[in-house]
Amino acid sequence: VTGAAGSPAPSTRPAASGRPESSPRAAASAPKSTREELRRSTFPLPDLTWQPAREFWEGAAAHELRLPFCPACGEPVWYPRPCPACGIDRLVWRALSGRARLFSWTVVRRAFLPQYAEHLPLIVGLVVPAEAPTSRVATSLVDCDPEELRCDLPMEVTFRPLVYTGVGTCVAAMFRPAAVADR
Amino acid sequence: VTPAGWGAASAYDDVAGEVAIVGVGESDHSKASGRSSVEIALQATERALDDAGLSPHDVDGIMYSASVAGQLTEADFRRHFGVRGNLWVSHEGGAMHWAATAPYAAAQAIRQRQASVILNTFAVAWATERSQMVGGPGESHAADRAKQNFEVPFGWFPQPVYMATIARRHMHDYGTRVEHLGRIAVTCRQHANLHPTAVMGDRPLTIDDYLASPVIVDPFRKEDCCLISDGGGAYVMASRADAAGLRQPVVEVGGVGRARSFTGLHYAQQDPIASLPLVFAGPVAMTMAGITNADVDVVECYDPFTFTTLISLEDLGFCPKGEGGPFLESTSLRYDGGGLPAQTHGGLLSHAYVHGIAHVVELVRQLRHQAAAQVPEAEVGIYAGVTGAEAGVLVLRRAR
Repeated sequence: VTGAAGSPAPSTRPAASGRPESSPRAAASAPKSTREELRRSTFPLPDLTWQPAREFWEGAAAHELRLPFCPACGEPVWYPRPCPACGIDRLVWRALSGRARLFSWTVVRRAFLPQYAEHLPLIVGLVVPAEAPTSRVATSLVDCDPEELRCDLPMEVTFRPLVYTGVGTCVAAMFRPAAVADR
Repeated sequence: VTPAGWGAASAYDDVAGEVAIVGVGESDHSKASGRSSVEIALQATERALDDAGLSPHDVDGIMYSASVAGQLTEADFRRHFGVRGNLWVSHEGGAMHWAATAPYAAAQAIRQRQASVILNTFAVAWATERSQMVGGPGESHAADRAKQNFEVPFGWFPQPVYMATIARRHMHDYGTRVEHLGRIAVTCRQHANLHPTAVMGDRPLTIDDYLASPVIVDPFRKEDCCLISDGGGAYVMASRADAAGLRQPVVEVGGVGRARSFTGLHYAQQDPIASLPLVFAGPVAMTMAGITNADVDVVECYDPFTFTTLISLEDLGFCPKGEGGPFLESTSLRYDGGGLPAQTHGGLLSHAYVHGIAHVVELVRQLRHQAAAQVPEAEVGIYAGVTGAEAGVLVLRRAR
């Protein structure tokens, strides 16, 4: 597993958002009704045909935490959309260090979706990446005792499979308390 | 995160004193009943018209929300009551923030002589329909593609999970404690225990019961989260002048405000995260009504969670941001506590999850002095509704 310390140097790549959807499946799929969406065979895994999310999930598969930035003002734009300050929609995705702080979290003991039942208790929360201090990334918190968690705790990314039995799996950017030496 | 100006109010004309709520009704509220939401809305409508002393044939305007499935439409209304005349129809009605702002649209329609007696209804059969998030509060959120891709896969979904996370941060930033949330849950239950039709009417709750209840989505217990119910409500509006000739004490609309957050359903990205657009809607409504917080005798907050009531009181200006916890230590929310009576029917937590329409029904009863848990000499009340990215604030007052 590649942790924060082992992440490759930051790279840039062209934006996904704003690019015309090219795959026939994606083009045919928008917009869907809610109930169709809930029947999507990969739900609750991400919909990899949705272009604005592709870099995030392809990054995770490559063990990189990638977030989109505005090429004009340099600010992170999360979630992906035209930059609220500049209006630019061709965001630039950067691989980040994976260092973050814990904004807040919750321990979920009830399955609000039936698909979550196999993972209870879910420890989930929001982290603020070091390079994107105005962005909050929803994630799973792993390798931790929930009793040890506190707001603003230093965290680091770790890439783990997200598994929903009968649905599938994909690699996701999850977070764990940073090694004490790295805090 | 929106760096500056995270939301804004709609520009509203002054409609103070133009419209009154002349009739109110609630359906039976229950767990799964097998009834359709339209049947439920019709029951509430019949009761609201009876309350006003009006006939269905007097109604010439109808309001409901087009964005919530199964609402009472003009076709349903005509079919059930055999009404044939013209009907003004608005989709700016229903519950949630619309329960606050429907009187604004009604005032415009009455001004323009498009209607004179306007019915607003809302009903759900979510307890009957509930399965796999089809029907229920998570459904519309599950349709949001950013949520599907950045939140749902990890299990940071749906509303109880977001709000628990935000409550945890509020606790870190301001020292809010679970006992503060518990005070709200207990007061709501005490009020529901006095209300004749509350779903939790016969289920007492003490603070010890609350603290002993298992945590389901840390820091929330079951009692911090709203019910899922079948039920609904209705209210009838007319001009202030017409109201004076009707059966009930006149409760008039003092002010209305509406606002939205620019981050939409993406609560994770809103900064400040623990605020509701009530911050923007409240001053519009209160300025229109010519009141300050000190004038408010009773407040009904849309309360999917105890924590929502706590931050609503902050965002409405009853205490500074972050001081909701200490405020609750010094200010009783009970109807008879001499503090700031709130959630006097039990709210979404203990009365019924009918999305705020019953909050307005309750507020009208309070100002008529007909409520079960009656606030002594209540003259001015506020309903604060929030949904998704939007908020609506309604100031009602007993006419002199």
